[in-house]
Amino acid sequence: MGLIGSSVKRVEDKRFLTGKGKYTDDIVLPGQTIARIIRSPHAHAKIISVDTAAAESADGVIAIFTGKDLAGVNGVPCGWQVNFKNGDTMKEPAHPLLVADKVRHVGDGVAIVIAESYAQAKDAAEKIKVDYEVLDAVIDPRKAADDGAPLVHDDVPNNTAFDWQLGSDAGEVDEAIRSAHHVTTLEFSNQRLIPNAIEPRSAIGHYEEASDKFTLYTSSQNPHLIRLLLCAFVLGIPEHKVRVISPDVGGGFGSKIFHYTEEALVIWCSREINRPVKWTAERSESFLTDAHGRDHISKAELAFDADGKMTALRVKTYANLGGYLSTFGPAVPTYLYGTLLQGLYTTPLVNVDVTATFTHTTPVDAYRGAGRPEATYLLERLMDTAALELGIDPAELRFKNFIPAFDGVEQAGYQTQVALQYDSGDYQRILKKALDKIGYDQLRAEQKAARDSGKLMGIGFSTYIEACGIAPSAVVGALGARAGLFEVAQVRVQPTGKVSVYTGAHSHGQGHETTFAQIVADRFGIALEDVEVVHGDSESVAFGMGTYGSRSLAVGGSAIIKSIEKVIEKGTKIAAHKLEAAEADIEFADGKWSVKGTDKSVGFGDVSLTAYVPHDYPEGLEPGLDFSSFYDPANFTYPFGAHIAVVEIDKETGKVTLKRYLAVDDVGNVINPMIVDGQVHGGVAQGIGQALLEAAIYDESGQLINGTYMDYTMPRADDLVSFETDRTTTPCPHNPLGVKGAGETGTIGSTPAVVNAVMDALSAYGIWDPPMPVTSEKVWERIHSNGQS
Amino acid sequence: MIPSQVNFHKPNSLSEALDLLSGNQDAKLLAGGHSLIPLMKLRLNEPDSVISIGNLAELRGISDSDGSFKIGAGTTHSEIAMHQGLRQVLPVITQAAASIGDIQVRNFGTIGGSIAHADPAADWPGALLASGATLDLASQSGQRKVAASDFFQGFFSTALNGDEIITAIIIPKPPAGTRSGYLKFAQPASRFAIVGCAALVSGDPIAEIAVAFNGVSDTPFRDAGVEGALKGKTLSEEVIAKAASMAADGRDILSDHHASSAYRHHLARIYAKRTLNSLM
Amino acid sequence: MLAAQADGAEIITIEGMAQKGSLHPIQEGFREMHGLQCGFCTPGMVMTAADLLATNSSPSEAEIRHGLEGNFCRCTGYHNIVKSIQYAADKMQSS
Repeated sequence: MGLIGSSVKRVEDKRFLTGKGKYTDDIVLPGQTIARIIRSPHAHAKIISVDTAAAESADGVIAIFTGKDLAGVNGVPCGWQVNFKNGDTMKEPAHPLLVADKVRHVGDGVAIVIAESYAQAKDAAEKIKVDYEVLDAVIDPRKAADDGAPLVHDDVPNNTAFDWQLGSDAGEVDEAIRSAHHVTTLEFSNQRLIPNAIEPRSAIGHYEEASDKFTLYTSSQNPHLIRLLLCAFVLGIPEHKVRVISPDVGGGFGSKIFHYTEEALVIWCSREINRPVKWTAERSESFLTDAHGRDHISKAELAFDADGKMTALRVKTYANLGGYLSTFGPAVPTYLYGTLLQGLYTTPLVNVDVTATFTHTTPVDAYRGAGRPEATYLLERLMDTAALELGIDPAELRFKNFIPAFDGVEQAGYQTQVALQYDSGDYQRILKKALDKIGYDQLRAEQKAARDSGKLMGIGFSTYIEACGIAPSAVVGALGARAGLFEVAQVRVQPTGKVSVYTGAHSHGQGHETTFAQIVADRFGIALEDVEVVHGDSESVAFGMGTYGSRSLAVGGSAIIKSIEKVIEKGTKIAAHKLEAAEADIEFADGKWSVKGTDKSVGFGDVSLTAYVPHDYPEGLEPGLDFSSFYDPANFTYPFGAHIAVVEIDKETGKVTLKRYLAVDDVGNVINPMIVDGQVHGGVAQGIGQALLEAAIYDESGQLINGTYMDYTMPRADDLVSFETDRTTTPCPHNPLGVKGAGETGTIGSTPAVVNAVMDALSAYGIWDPPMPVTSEKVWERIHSNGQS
Repeated sequence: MIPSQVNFHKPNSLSEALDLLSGNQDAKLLAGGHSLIPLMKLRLNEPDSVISIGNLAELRGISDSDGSFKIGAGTTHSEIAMHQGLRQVLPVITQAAASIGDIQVRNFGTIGGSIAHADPAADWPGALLASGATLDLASQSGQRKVAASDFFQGFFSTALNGDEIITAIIIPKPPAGTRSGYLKFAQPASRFAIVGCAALVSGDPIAEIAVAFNGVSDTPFRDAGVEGALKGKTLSEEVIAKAASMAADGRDILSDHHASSAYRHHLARIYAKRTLNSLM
Repeated sequence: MLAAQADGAEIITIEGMAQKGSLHPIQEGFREMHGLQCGFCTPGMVMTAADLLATNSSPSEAEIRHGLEGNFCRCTGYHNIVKSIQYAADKMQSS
């Protein structure tokens, strides 16, 4: 019915638009209690004593637990292991649910108080007295590795969790850089960001003594993985005794992937007090305890020959892991970062070296893009800087260096110097399309006119690639993942021909209930409203790996296709029996099975009913029409794109104003263009936020000094413009839908484009590397120090 | 974000409010609540009781007499921003009102609440200083008037006594032909003013001039240096540029992670220039 | 604000926008123009839009963006929220 490729309106919208969305904190269980966590106000301190006496007698208090009470309970685990270059095992200190000995970042949990109401829990929490011996803190990931730096974990020398290297022979890279015609060098930080999902994290633990079963409601992007980690690593409860439900989730952007201490705490406490325990973060807690993103310090050198061809890239990065290893913390600055440093270019020599350190800050993990924005920022900043240094147009410099087009079918995938094999791509085409769409010649003419009249206008590029749809379990396993990364789907055709789809992917804004229904309705030739998509409940969905890394459609959608194919195959057997024809003569199309070359057919509903009322039925065939599939992809998918930003700068104040933003992306085939565009818009806004507005700022003592919306600059409607978007389509050759992934492209592509535009606008004052976020004051200082204004 | 337990009083008249206030040393007055409630939710401020005066009819509304405008302290920023009479005669007031916070803040926040809080980065003080406003304060023991220039005393510090309520803001009508305006450079996260500049100017050559700043220093101030450089002159870009270059000279200028003192000082000059240029 | 401050006021929430099962034009605009993703900010956005359109029935894009200054959305980049409100303004004007 042509549902694939159509901008079907979302089926989930009605409940959200009428106030009927149900998020974790909306759930009120009978007998529910409220937990409040007492958190460290210090970044680094020894706990001398915790006095709970006054709180214990406070109104409504049911129980109080401290780190000592949880001495026998494991901490939350890390899900990815990256060993040292010399083979030594990654340093993996415990991440306790509540700390008993020493706190390692502001916000570290010290005690939990459970009361009848929010107000009582909060009142009692204020009565708990914790005596600390405050210690020196280290915040900067590079200084953390210095001898003598304060130690986050006493048994981790130089605060170094691991060091890591990937790519070409380091000696060859050094030599190529030494002998290059030109080398562009940048040293910068990719600043720490706070994800700021609008729904604060929330979790309810519910232990039922009669059945000895637990239910965890949690604002998570992957309920099944939380169950696995919670059961197998933290509490040692058998999985069949635990049900995890992630109901409506109000945005995640990575921050709700991870297994957080609070999830295990509410379950553990619920059993202790035999009542449901709810915890919901206050916004201040979200700032301090949601895993942060980015926070790299890098030096990057890109070598060119006399023709402007890239000859080598050398990168050294210090990555901040925060106070503990978060679930995927070690993967982000390594396998999701170093592997992307080939970019879209033919650079024959690429080497990246990463040192990952603990600091007295909130743990750092995947935030929309996760490693790939950091890699793209580094590479694309180098490109526009090199273009200025070499006096070559930045588009031209890219055309000189692009990998030639390959479809992954006729032409092989592209093997990079940094482990990945790209699936398919046509990079020339997408940049050409972007240049046409923005009217590049006209834009440069406008820029010249603006400059002639004394205005500062800049044009910035970013041509990116990302690896998403993570990924083949065997590959990620070899790289240190402690989980598989397949996806699961069950397609259950009901007797009436209506279809329930159970997916292990989780929607927290992506519109799976619509997109997945489109796929199923399209393939079965039935109406969209005859398909219901179920997700987020470990009791109804057999298993799943959740939603992150732009994997839902490429991996989860492919699993659905596998189940659809099984349904059609079995339906063909039933239809052949009903139509009294050979199976080989039956074809399925437009919602019915037909005998080829005749007008004899049987409809989808008819076959469905027969499968459940098998009176007249093929011999030996099981009744029912219900199939589960696990899909483990052959490779990552590799979306790519060309983004162009146009900015104007107020010379007197330094204020940067975004004038235009164009994103031309290739995400392979598209199921719902409206939803894909929406993903691009949101991603671009977050990337612009990093470029111009956002940063988590710690002082030397480890206090987050801008942990409120009065101080942390979230992009608002009037900071942004209407975005221009377009696409090219290069299908993914290795999954059945030919899809790539669209959730993170915007964030990955946009940040360097905007900063490059700022650099371009200010190029009259020489080549400058604008530090992010590029605030008005930094720009003014730059202009001012050049004797202007 | 649950505040501590608090007694909530909703008096029906100003005198009832004053009675409650005098009988309760730890009470806080609550108007729109945009400053107080966040502090209560963070438990940085835990008053024993709040006295809600935001909807007292006698504190609301704008009256226009021969010589002045009287703005009830409980009038919302939005009501002021939309007021036609003020917009015609004293655009500095409506522009300051319109630039506050966001629509939710403007629709519920009040002028009295804002100035009593005396956040140095708030938008009202510059406009009130420049326009020569006087505040009516009431307590059980009577009423008094305080000039805006005497009211703001420092960082979150004013001349308001603990038993007093601001009842109205009186703004004298300037001479016919007076032009006025307010422009700000906003802190990007909070949208408070990093620098806000209010100015009134009349006569050619200039007979009356007022230039005042908020956001620059811990106390809002009239800038005598800039004013002196303009008085008696005919406004021109050149004259303005010269005068604006003296803005905030000699002042103790705030510095924080949103703007260093050097940058704030620079912005004061730029916003003096822009505000004055807008009045040409 | 404290709930007690609303004593005596008429309160309209997102639950009261749809009438007899048919969406308010603003709700319809958000659905038609994909003005929501995770849905968490949506009630605030819709109600702010209602106030905006009550005072300005045909706002420009700049006026809409300014009017949304007090509401955060982390999903949409505001692009489609602006379009949703434009859709609602057109619909409300033509009806």
